[in-house]
Amino acid sequence: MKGKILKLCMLVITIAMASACTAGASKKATTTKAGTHPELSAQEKLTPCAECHKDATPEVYKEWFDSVHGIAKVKCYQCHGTYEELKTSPDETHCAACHNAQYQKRPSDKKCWDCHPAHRFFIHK
Amino acid sequence: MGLSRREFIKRTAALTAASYVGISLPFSKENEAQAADADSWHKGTCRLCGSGCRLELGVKNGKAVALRGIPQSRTNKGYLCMKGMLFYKLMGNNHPERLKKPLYRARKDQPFKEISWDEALDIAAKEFAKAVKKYGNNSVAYYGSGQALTEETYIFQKVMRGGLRTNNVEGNPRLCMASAVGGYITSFGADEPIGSYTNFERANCFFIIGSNTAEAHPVLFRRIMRRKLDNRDSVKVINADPRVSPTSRIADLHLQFNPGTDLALLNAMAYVILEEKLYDEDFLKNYAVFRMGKEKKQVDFAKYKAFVKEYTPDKVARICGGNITPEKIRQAARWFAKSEGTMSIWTMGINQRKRGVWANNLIHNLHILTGQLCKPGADSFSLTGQPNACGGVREGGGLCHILPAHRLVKKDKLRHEVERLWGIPEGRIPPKPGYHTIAMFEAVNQGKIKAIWINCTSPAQSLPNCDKYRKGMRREDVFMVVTDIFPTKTTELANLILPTAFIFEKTGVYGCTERRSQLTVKAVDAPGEAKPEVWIVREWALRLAKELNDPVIKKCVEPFLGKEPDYELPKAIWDEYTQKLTKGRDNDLRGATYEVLEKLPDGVQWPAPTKEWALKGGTDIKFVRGLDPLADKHAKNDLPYQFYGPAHPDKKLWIWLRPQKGPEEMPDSQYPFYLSTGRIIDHWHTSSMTGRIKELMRANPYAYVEINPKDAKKLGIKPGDMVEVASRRGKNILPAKIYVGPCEGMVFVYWHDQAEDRMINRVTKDAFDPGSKEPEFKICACRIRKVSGPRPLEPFIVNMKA
Amino acid sequence: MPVGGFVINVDPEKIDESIKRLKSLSGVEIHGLDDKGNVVAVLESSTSQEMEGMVKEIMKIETVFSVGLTYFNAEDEIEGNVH
Repeated sequence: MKGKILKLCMLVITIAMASACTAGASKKATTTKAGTHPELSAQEKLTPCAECHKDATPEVYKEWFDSVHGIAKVKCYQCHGTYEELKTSPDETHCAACHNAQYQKRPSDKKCWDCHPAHRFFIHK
Repeated sequence: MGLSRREFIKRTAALTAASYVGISLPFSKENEAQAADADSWHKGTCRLCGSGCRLELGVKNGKAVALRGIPQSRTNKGYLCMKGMLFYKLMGNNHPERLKKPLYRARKDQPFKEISWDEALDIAAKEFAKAVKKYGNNSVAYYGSGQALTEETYIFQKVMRGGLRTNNVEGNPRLCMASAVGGYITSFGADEPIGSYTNFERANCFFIIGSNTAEAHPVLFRRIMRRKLDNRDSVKVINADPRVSPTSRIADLHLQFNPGTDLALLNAMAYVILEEKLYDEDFLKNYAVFRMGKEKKQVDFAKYKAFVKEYTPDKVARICGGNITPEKIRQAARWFAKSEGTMSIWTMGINQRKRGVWANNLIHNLHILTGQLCKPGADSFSLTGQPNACGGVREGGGLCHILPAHRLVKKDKLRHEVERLWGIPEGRIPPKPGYHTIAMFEAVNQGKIKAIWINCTSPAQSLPNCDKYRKGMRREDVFMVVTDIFPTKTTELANLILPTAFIFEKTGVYGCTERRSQLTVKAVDAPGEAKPEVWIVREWALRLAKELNDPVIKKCVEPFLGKEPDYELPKAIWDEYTQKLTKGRDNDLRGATYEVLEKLPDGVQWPAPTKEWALKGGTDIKFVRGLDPLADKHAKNDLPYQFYGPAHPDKKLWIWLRPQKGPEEMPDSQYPFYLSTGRIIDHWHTSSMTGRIKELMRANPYAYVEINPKDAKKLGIKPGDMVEVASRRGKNILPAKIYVGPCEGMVFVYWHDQAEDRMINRVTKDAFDPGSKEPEFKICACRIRKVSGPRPLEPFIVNMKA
Repeated sequence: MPVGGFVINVDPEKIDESIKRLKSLSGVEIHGLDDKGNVVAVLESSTSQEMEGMVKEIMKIETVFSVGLTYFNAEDEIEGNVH
């Protein structure tokens, strides 16, 4: 059972998850509802995304952490959803929850992140 | 496209503006996509903190499907936090655990059974009438909420006071902002902040003390963050807190003091301001006096100077401990005094203290000394935790000592005025204030209160030292009615549970931190038989009138008879409250009719005596001539500021001589750690709502105890270890988070968790401020020890075992 | 060069008079209006402070109830300030 790892130590699981994530794509990528995300146990689903991604995708984590979203604590799941309905590219309506005015006036041939780079969110690229 | 970039920007500017008012422009054919797939969007206010974020609920086929911010709102400017984005998942039939039928049990050891509304209201009326007849009017009580709509609090307290002749009217705002009320009244002569959120964009120095704004008020924090990031060098942020929090990330200076030494720190800042002559002499001469003691004795500037002389930065740095140095105190005082516009911000770290009112006074002192008030960006601004603690409870008369519109119960003239306005006989409202919160639940413990109505809050979890008070709530001779939308730790102890409508399932007003009243109109149906509280109270009062054979009780709800409950009834209550009760008072809301509120994207800041003024949004800054209509009306001289607050007959600001005072319980050899508690961003209060939203629950599935790495090392505690946190009152067993958050010698626990093992209010202390009666949640003594290595844990939310 | 999109609420009884007054201000363009007194306007200025001043000027017109900013672009002002 995957939960066994967790019983050892929270820290170990974090590292374990990190390798699972990086190695997962080739090794044990299962097609879950969550696309290509490695499968998670019930316990693992209770770990905040950033907890694993700090190690699994450190560049992305750091970009986010130093961005205005990181400072203002706009978290991963607010754009990408949680495990079952995870989206690698967020639904733009999630952006619109806060940025509706900008969403309404965006050029129709562009995605939000074409001008505001994902995870860094400059005002303009 | 043949458009220059500039033309394009102008075009989108026009299109955006046009889209808000539904005007078609000749070039508006494209980009019409809506943010989510909804049939209609309905304006309202967020339910999950005191910021007052305005949002729109997307409804499709009668079902709530999305929430998005309203960009033109002056509170949130379109932004929402994760709670605000997601709480539509609790509305209507979206959530299977919503309470849908009245539930009753005669005894608390029996299971609940479903009953009809007729039966439920009869039982509630009979039990309250029985208690009144047998044990007198003060054997019944109402315990309400800063989350109830203003109309709800108002009608509840009207029936309790005018009908049942008791001032046993309290609410959870006692636990969160009573000290702020005490501070505003004693320092400025009038409750609630002078300025507004607009000062976030005008301030050049932020003094954030005892507030983790980034997590507790994330959308307001965004404005502060923006201000800082856009002016990195010129805007200074000082964060004073025993714990390093996400708020500290934008700070230029972090003052980490040991819990309970804040009053000394604030007096030391005053010391520097005096010593370095950084005070505003003209401001002091024109607007301030110095006072001390219970008798409010007026003293002179020399006396104040002599008092502050005790608080040298050297000495206070030693008292404060942590990372405090004399130079840091001086730096903070200089930035505070010299910046063009300093805004102080605080919440529970200051309010939930044995001397919370004094701590508030000492912050106000700094503003009065330096003249950092009424000018752009200069403000002494207490943030409120609940959406309607200000509007409903502070203004609506929801505490034991106050009547609607900032009237004190004990003032005969004001009490009789209320009786007259209600058309009930003089003397009907008793002259003595009722029980304050802790006293009320103490009276429950002692069996002095026989019937209590708890509305929209969960004291079984939110009271400090809650085990002590849960004992009383379990008594079989205390009849307990609980009105709520979900099962909670408190419904577990009830005799009668009445299911209520949630926000957007009923109509009413919330008044947020900045004196702003905002309307939410019903947009979806409540699930099952859930009803709006205003209907419940009206129907209950009619039955009470019969049971007690007292026509005056009926008189209290007479103006509301026959009104349909989803809109007409709350509107009639709001009209009575605003047009009659606030007339001529400092929170004059006569201009803020439903009609006006519905026109605005956000709402109206009082004073707003006329519709014309209300349509402009009301009063941004109080007491300033030309900006505040009441400042002009009450002007006694030619000075630009007129401090007309009702509590200060001399119309002056009062600088108080308040000494350092530690907490009620200090760490000792048996209990060597300070315990402090607080919130995290994904959850709100007792998590009865946020814990039922999957995304939020997962992000923070259970409470942790945060331990400083140095302490963890000493005690051999590793991340994830299970740690017992014990005080003289109770204990918890929680997973450890080792984190440079709390200072050495202090642990910090999140208070939202409903699991018995992780419910930290079983450990906290119920000491309270003798002035404000607000409990000292933020400090008590505890000991910690490792009980095991990491264990798999389950999130927990109370379930209804019907 | 900031550009702002505004909805200006004017007295519905006095729309014509209001429009005349608004048009007399430099940097103000009117793009649309309705009979409820909603006026869609675009303001252009050289700095944000100047735009604030323009808004204050508009507020001084007696027939204007409120001026609501719905869109603001000051990209050339902001660039360089954000990291």
